[in-house]
Amino acid sequence: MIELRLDGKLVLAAEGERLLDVARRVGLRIPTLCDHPAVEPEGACRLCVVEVRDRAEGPGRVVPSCLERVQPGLDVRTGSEDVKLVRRTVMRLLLQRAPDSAALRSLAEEIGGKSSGAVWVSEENAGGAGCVLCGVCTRLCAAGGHHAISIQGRGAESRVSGPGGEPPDACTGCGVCARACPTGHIQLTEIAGVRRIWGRRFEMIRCGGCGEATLPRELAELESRRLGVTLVELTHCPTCKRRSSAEKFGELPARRTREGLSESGPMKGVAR
Amino acid sequence: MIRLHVSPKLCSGCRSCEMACSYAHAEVEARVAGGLGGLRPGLPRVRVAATGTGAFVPILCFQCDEARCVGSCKYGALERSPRTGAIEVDEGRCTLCGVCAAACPFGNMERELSRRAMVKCDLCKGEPACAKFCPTGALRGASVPR
Ligand code: SF4
Ligand code: SF4
Ligand code: FES
Repeated sequence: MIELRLDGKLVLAAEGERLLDVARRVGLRIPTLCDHPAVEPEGACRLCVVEVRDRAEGPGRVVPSCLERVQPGLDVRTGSEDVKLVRRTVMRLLLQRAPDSAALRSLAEEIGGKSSGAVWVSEENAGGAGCVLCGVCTRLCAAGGHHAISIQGRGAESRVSGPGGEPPDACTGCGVCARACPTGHIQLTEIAGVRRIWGRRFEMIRCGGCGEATLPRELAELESRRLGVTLVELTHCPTCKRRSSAEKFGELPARRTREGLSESGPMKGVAR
Repeated sequence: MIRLHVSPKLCSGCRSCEMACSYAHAEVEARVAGGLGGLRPGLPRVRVAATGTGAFVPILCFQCDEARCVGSCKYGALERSPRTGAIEVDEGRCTLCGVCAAACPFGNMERELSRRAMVKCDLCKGEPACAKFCPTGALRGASVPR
């Protein structure tokens, strides 16, 4: 166990724990945008900053709490003036890229920081819920084994896309990136068994029993190979699978007797 | 560890278990403008399915030793609780890709559309509500040593 000071209070933490997790564990609220529990932190958004000191006095450093790990005797402040200033500045920059994102706006309300008005916005971001380059989508796509999208280009020209700015060939249509995107920039639609994302079109495989749309064909084929399960079994919907489970495990109902049911077992609270 | 014993022969098809499960996994909804808040029952994690011959079978997660769902998740969102033995969904890690639902051979993992979450039997964190409300004893919960 490691002892450190968090907003003046002594707290215990496990070796290697991130400051963000310790702070949240003791009930402190720290805003984050690019942190996702399923992937490694990247420190891309800088909203989660805290001020740390190795000793109680001396100069502090403002660091992202999603990257910084606990140290014995560390003095951490989560709401100092420096921390607030950095968060507000960061928020102003983020809002330039995604002024209409609901998630960003509610965070902005919490920590302060307004959009500074006339700003340069790239064409893709003109919709208002722009990309803030947090990289949640690219990291999750890689974690899923697809590596379809990445951050392309440099500086103000950076954007997320497939290689060379083209629709990504390796995309399986899993939709993980779109669901996790904090600003709502990634567009995913699913209409009449067809999913569209990143300029590509994915046919949803329908359940062999009832016709319900299950997984995009590309994803289902990949998973069928990975898990060693046939495509037909993989794309049977839960309701139809339960129906076959019932056939497998069900027997004819026991004959009813006056005492209840013929099989031994408690009969609880059934008036007859 | 908790075990649920299922005796399809005793099932009368009353679906009390589904109702109990729904309410055991209900969520309190905040009061919204122009309406009342309230209790929103969850998707039942136990389902009574009928066979072709008219028998009823309560179907719910077996908490398989070598669970396909756990092996299928690429985001580490499914883990067994050491206390109850139930496989639980970590909603923070879950990306809603739906692969676990496809992988489960029995149909015991499903997506709850209204809450955007994957749901399965979690043995009610140790006190299965379905067993408590099953009037015939078709579902019985028992605590077993690990
Ligand atoms: S939808 Fe395509 S780009 Fe997005 S995470 Fe899945 S494979 Fe990657
Ligand atoms: S959800 Fe399905 S695969 Fe997973 S433990 Fe339950 S029955 Fe087994
Ligand atoms: S959450 Fe730490 S930098 Fe984004």
